[in-house]
Amino acid sequence: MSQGDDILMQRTAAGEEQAFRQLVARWQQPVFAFLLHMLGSVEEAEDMTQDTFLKVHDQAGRYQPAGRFRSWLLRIAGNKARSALRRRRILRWVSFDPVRHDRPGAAADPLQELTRRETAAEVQAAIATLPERQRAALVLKRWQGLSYQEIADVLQTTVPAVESLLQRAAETLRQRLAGAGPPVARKERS
Amino acid sequence: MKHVTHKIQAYLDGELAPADRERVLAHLEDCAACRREVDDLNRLFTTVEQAQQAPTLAPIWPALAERLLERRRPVWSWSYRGLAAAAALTGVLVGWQLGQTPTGSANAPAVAVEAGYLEARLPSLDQLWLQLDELDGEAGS
Repeated sequence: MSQGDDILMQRTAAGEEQAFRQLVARWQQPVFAFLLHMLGSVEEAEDMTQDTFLKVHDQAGRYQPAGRFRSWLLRIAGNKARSALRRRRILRWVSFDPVRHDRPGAAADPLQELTRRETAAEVQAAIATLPERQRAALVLKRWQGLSYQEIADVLQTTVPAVESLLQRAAETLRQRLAGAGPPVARKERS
Repeated sequence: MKHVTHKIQAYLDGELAPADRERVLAHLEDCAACRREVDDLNRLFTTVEQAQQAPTLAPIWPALAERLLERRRPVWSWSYRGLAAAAALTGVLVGWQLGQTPTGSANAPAVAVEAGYLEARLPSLDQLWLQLDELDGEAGS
């Protein structure tokens, strides 16, 4: 039976390596994906993913079990990414090479696959130009599926501020991506 | 009619309070411009979400476990390294100090030169002493 993150953190704090191992297995991919879209480098994102979990291990004793493990974890990851970006003296987000890192799709139609990749590259290039916090909010919402409250926790801000960041990000993207992407519209999102 | 443009993203994300959601829905019934905004944002979000491309990361646990282990090791390994370094430094200092004494092999050439210089002048010194003795004898007699 799968245990909750808070319980696993408590067990980690008590020195149970197996509990920490479960947490790592459960969360390494979301942390890696987040860091990858922040840093633009697979190698660096992988290193930072490890660093993030080392920090989690160090901080396990201070973790307050409030059912917000994901946002706490991603806040640590975000801080790691920010430090890495500072080290590079580039306080902006960079896009990774979509051709190099994209996994081969299973699309039957090569032309359709090519179009999808081109669109993905355009979107990532546009996202890379967003200011840091707008980009963080966008990635956390659209690719990590966090709620506004969770994003606010990660970015250490308020829900209205998150709403504003997402609105500005969407507006900028819409201008830059005018005409890009498949004409897919959804009736309802939740 | 007041548009609800600034609320549409939160509406699509399911982040509106029930009362706000009802107001937005009611507005959308009558406002074609805001309905277009809903469609535009939906299209944008779909495009963005489909662009996510993160390769699957291989399990990091083996590397992480190794790093955790390494962090436990340094307490001992650094102590041993420190002790070894201190011992080596002590040896160097003792050796250097010994090298400062006159009998030290490092000073052997200098001592040999000094001895040779004195030896060469001994006859002169002997003569000087003899002359002094003679003078003393003359004075004492």
